[in-house]
Amino acid sequence: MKIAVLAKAVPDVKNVRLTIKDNDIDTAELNFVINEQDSYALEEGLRLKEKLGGEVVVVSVGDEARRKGITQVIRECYAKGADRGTMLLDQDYSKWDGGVRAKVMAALLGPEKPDVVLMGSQSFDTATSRMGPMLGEAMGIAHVSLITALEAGGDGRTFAVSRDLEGGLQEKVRVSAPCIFTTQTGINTPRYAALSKIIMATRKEIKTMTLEDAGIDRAELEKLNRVRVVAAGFPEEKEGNALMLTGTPEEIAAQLVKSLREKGLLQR
Amino acid sequence: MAILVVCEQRQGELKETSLEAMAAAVSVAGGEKVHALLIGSGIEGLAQAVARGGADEVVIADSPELTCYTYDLYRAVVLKAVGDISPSVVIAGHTSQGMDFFPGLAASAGMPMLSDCVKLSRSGDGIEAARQLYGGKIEVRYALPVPCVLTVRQGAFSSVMAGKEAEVRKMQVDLGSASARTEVTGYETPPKEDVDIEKAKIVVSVGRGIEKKENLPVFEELVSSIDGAVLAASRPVIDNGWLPKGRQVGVSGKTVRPKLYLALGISGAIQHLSGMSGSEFVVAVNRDKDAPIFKVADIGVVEDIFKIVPALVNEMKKR
Repeated sequence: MKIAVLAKAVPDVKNVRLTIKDNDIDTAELNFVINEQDSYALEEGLRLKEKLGGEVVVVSVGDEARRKGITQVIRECYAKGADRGTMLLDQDYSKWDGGVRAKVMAALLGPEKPDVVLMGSQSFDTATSRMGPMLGEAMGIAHVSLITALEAGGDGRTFAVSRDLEGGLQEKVRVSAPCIFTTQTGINTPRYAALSKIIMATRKEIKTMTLEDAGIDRAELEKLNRVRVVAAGFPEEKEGNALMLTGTPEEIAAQLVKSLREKGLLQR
Repeated sequence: MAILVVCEQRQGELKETSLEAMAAAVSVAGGEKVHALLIGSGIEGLAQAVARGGADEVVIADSPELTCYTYDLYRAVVLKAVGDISPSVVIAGHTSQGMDFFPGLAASAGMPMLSDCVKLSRSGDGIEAARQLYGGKIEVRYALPVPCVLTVRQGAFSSVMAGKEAEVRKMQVDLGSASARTEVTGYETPPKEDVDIEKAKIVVSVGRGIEKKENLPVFEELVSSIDGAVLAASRPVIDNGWLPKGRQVGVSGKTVRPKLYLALGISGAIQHLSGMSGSEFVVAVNRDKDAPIFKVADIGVVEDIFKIVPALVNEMKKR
């Protein structure tokens, strides 16, 4: 079976003071890493391959600034067991709206004719959760989002999945290939890559494509790009900002317990 | 022109988010009529609740085939309603179902779409919408032409009770050649827990910052030193299997409103915040001073939880 996994390279903003540049965060000094949610999608794809045979193809889209990050992301996927990887780079990438990105992805994946397409249910950077369903429309195949369990029939054509609803409720859904799944964290425990495989992965080829290679008409794409960024900034601070306690851990603990007792929030 | 709000119900229960989406719709309607669409089976009884949320007209698409959500059949219904009403804006909640449905609907209808909006306004002939990126660290404002599709973040708009009357109209549901490629075979509720975190007055909640399961006793000791406290967690802890699902606070877990919420090593992803922001008093301890949890905290401590928590246990033992 042919399994495609979307692996996005996203900036790592942990413990970083962000600055704004050109209506987005300034990523010049940031590292790009695999979108954490996509690593669960990859793991699910690898498990399908191990159970039913076939190959796992990783695809990632970005711009020149992300080339290094995407290369690392695809190598990480190789080290874990992915068979092939393709990246498409375009200078307009950061200006593309979700609908445009889905069209580009569909053009990339179309010739692959995947049986199953997997991706994380959202990406850490934009968190719109639009790609899965939009890609389904663009490719003309079914999608099920936010899945927490995936069980494939022996023929690899039918799937029984659970998806997250609110309040811990799970919806059980049946669907047939070809189809798209977006995965939730916790659906599995992503494997670690062995060091030897990480080293081997650096020698494996990554196919690099342009819009033209994928047969995409730039003018057609531009017509779909109808959402425009007006401005980016930091969210307004909530009124009544937190009282920040400082000092040694002992001083902080004493201050905190005293304060909570005074407010009657601790019973003793 | 008009606004179309697509409401969400499951097993006959209207989602609160639908009324929030209605409030968002009313705020950008500017005199346009607000139509609310209810989809399901045997759901006429919900029409009045929807009307009270501010709709001018409630449209009901009622058919046994629509009992459970399927992307394909719901899309056929909404596309039909869009054709009938010609809305300038389609608005709904950014729920689990909303995430599954509206991006594809928008693509199918050829409309631009933004999800998880926290602010909406009219701007010229179009819509201006704000949403948060990078885990809530930045906010971006976007301009969209109409017609467009928007989903709104749960809790970002307050539902209103407009005491007005709404017309209720039954829509002719003709699914014609539409067939569903997905089938809902059932629902599963999480197993009952020995501890009910929704009823606790004090919730001590741990996040990714606890690093590994072996560190749990540190926090269990704190919980046992505080009368009436229970241990809860954010999603990564549950995903890793360190605590059972019934202890999860957040959108896909439980919503808690204790007197005191102690967030330890929790960064405060929106999915978590929406499950605890109704807490009366929030204390957050996290090493990252920019963690969004501090935005909803009343008292914050930027420090290592493994230094603060043992000190807190000692302090509690002093009496």
